[in-house]
This record gives sequence, structure tokens and C-alpha cells, in this order.
Amino acid sequence: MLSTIIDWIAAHPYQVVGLVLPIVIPLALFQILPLLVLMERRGAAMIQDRAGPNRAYIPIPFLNVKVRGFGMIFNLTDAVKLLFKEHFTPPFVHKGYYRIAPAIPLITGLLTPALIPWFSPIVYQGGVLSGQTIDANSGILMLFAMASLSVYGVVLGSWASNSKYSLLGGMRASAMMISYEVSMGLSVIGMLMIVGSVSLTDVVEWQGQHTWGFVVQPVGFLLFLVSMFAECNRNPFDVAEGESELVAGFHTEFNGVKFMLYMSAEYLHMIVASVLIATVYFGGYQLLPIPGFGPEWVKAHVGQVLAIGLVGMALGLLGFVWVIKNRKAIHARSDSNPQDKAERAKEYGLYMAVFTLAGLGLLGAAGASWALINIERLGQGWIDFITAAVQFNIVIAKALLFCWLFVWVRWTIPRFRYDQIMDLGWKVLLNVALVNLLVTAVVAKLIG
Amino acid sequence: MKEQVPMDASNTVVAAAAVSPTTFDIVFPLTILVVLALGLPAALFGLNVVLSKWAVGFNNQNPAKNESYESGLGARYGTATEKFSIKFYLVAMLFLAFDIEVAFLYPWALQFNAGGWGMVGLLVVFLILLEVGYLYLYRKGALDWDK
Repeated sequence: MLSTIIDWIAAHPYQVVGLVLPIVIPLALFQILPLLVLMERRGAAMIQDRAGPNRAYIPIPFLNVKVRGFGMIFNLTDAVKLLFKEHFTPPFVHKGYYRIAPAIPLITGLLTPALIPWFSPIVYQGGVLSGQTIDANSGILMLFAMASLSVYGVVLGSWASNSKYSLLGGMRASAMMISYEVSMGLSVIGMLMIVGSVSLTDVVEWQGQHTWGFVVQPVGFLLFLVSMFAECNRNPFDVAEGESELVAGFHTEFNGVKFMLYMSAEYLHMIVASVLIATVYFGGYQLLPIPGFGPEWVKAHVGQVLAIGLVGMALGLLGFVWVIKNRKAIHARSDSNPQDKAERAKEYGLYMAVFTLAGLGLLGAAGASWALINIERLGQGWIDFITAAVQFNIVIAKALLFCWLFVWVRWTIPRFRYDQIMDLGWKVLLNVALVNLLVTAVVAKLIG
Repeated sequence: MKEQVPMDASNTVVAAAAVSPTTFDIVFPLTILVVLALGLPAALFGLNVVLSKWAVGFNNQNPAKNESYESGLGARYGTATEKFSIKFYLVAMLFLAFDIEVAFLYPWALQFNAGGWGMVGLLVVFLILLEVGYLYLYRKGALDWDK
């Protein structure tokens, strides 16, 4: 029975990959979403020098420990609260659009990762398995086309709400998003004309053979980054929901799961934008910004690469244990009541035990992967599979750095005024993008 | 979309890819993806309806709850869909014009490596035409938001 299934999988690689990728990739990105919310809350607390999310907890029955999980429990309580909220449609809204609109940004956020290459193409039985879920030749154009549709969610939601704040927020947001779409499209052309293809797999392969995109297109990278901030409605471009002016902007009248759909779509767009920046300008699944360390090198040394990554994660966890140890000492000296002190001491002790075990386990796994994962032992198929997994994690690691950049900027830079935003978009970024294009063309022909 | 973009022979990946995936291999994942993308919001929405109405919640109506969230002013200053600034319409028109011009640049970008300095000349001609229109708009004040 099992061998029959394995034989069928080996005989139908395209169908299996076509079945697995479109389910695994969006759900994997959806799993990063709570992490990003946590990153935002902890980052805000860190930058503003205040206590972060640390009140909600889950009691563990037999150990008599309260697990706060560094604020991770808040994601759970948020989801439960929003799912259990009353399903309430206000009487003054346009009901059909009001119910459809919140789903549109989430749908586009789930569709766009299909055009991102998550691993290098695998040569298999004379054919090639692409790292993209949909290996369409239109590549980044199709991605832009699908990403642009999320404007409809904002416009429809704001208009259907039939509320003045909503309408103002939606109008501002849609005008800003379409303004910055022009410079977004222009800035990425610089990279595409050097590569000579719109397929993102080709863009990443080119970066592996030469160098990463931000080296050859620094101005284009900055323009693309700024445009992506505007496309995601993030600070300093978050006029859509300028809470001091417009209550909450376009989603003022939305409650319960409809609000949850809008918010999860916003964070999902941040993740997709980070992945896109990492793919076009930071080498995607390429390991290093110098030629010679492309997918073939990674494939030949996948055990070692995996081991080094695992050692890095283990060191991170053990460093975290050291941080918790200091926290525990600080809390023991504080003037809170004895019961709270005892509870916290137990909680920190549990974290230290768990993270030490996990770190040591990862070190063991690193040693095992260094020793055991090689092509003689496992064969080509498993090596290809492990390489694909490693490359997927390289993309995610790069994307998380840009996610942190999104959070960092949000809590550092104040919001722009609306006319400043429109001036920046139409008078500065558009012209800089055109000049960048001209300079890139001339330099590319001069170099050859 | 079916047509393979012309590539130089050194790009082995694309040369090999021309052999393999059929239309089915593109449409099949796309179908699954669309079903998932439509199904996830629908499932969350349905879960909310089930959990709040039938499982634990109750539907409590009162006049204040049915008002829009507009600081209590409500319909006193007109309805929300009455009128808003014409500037937004202007921005939409500008977007259409400029985004189509961006779309014209993509085929040029794909053929850039194939041509010589003539490709740069094409870009210069295109940019001059674009900038003339842009300067006209600039002098007309179409790009000034606070005027």
C-alpha cells in the first residue's frame, strides 16, 4: 500500500507539487501572521520603553505555572474574542458589499505568494519542478495585477459602510495606493531590464550568478521599499486609518470577524511585501551575495548549510535563556508582592528549562545533519527535498528582517500629512524612478 | 501568457522549463489556490456567524447601536455618499494615464539586453514624450494637492 503511494508520487511529480504547494505556502505564511503581530507589540513596547503584552496567560494545571508566552497568548485571546463577537450588520450599510469587501484584501494576500519562487527549480526525470506555485511567464506582472485588486477591498468597504469617516479614509487610502503603484511599477523595471525577464525565478537565478539586486539597483530598491510601505498602508503612509483624524479610517464600521479579516490581510500584505522585496532585491533563496554559492553549491553542501543554520538558531535560543535569566534576577529584586514573585520565578524557570532543552536539541540536530545528510547516504531525491526546505527558510528569514523594518519604521517615524504624501508620490518618486531608469539603461550599455 | 519570453541560451533553467509543465500543471494549482483563498475568509465568516448567533451569543438591538460611528452627528451634516473632493477623481485619471505608460515600458525592458544603444534612444524618446505631458500637468497644478 505504502509503496504504491510512493510509486504514484514518484510518477506524478507535477501533480503532487501542484497539490501540495498551493495549500502549504499560503497556510505557512498565515502561520507567520501571529508572529508578526507579536513582533509589532513587543517592538512597540521596546521602542516606547514600556511594558508590552504580558497580562493574558494560560494556567498549566499540574505544574502550577502561568504561561504568558511573552505575549503570544494575546494572539489566541484576540482570535477567540473576534470570532465570538456578535455577528452584527448595522442597518445603514449596503449589506452585500459590506459583507464581501473585508474578504477581498485577504484573498489577494493569499493569491500573490503563488508567484514567488520559494526554492530553486528541481530537475526531475528530464522535467523541471518550479519553485513557484504558478509558473506563469507573466511572473511579476501577474503578481502586481493580483496585488492591485486589494484596493477594491478598501474602496468597497469604505463606500458600503455609509459613514463619513469610512468614506474619507477609503478615498484617501485608494488615491494613495494607486499613486504609489506607478512608482512601484517603474522602480522594479530597472531590475527586470538588467535580468531581461519578468519571471521571478529568473530574477533570483540572475542574482545567484551575479550579485544581489540592491547592489546593482540601490535607488530602485529604496523606491520599491517606500512604495511597498505605501501599498501596505503602513506608517508613515497610514492615512487610511489616521486614528487621530478618522477614528479608524475605512474599517470604522466593521466588527468581529470582518475587522479580523481586514487586520489579518494588512499583516499578510506586509509579509508578502517583505518576501517580494527579499526576492527581487535581496537574492530570494540565494544564500550569499557573491557568485559561486548558488543553488548547486547549496545542494552539494546542504547538510553543512542546514547544520550552520541550526547552530545559529540554537545559539539564539541559548542567548534568549541568558536574557530570561537576567529578567528573573531583575524581577526577584523588584518590589512586587511575594505571590507574584513566586509565580514569575516559576514561569521563568519553565521557559529556561524548555529553551535550554530546545537549544541543546537543535545543537544535536545540527551535528546529526552535518554527519548524516549527504548525497551518498540519502540519494538525489531527498537532497533536492531538503534543499528546497532550506531555501524556503532562507526566503522566510530574509522576509522576517524586512517585517521587522516595517515595525521599526512604524514606531519611529511620525505620520505624513496627506498633501505631503501626494507630493512625494507624484513629484519626487515618479521623477526619481524615471531618472533611475535612464541612468540604469546608460550604465548597463556602457558596461556591456 | 503561453508564449515563452526569448532568452539567451546560457539560461539553462528556462530552456529546460520549456519542455515540461503543461497547461494542466498551471491550472491545477491555481484552482486549488483560488478555492483555498475564497474558502478561508468564507470559513472564518461562517465560524463567526455560527459561534456568535447560535452557539453562545444573542442579538441585542438598541437605537444607539444602530447609529453610524460619526461622533453622534449622524445625518445632520448630510449622508456619506453625497459628495467628496473632485481631486480623488483627478488622481484616478492621472493613475490611468501613467500606469499605462509604465505598462508600455515592460516589453521594452524585456528586450533591453537584445538591442544596442538604440534601446537607450527609444527610452529617451519615450521619456521626452512622457515628461512633456508631465510638465503640462505640473504647470496646470494637477499634481498640487492643497491648491
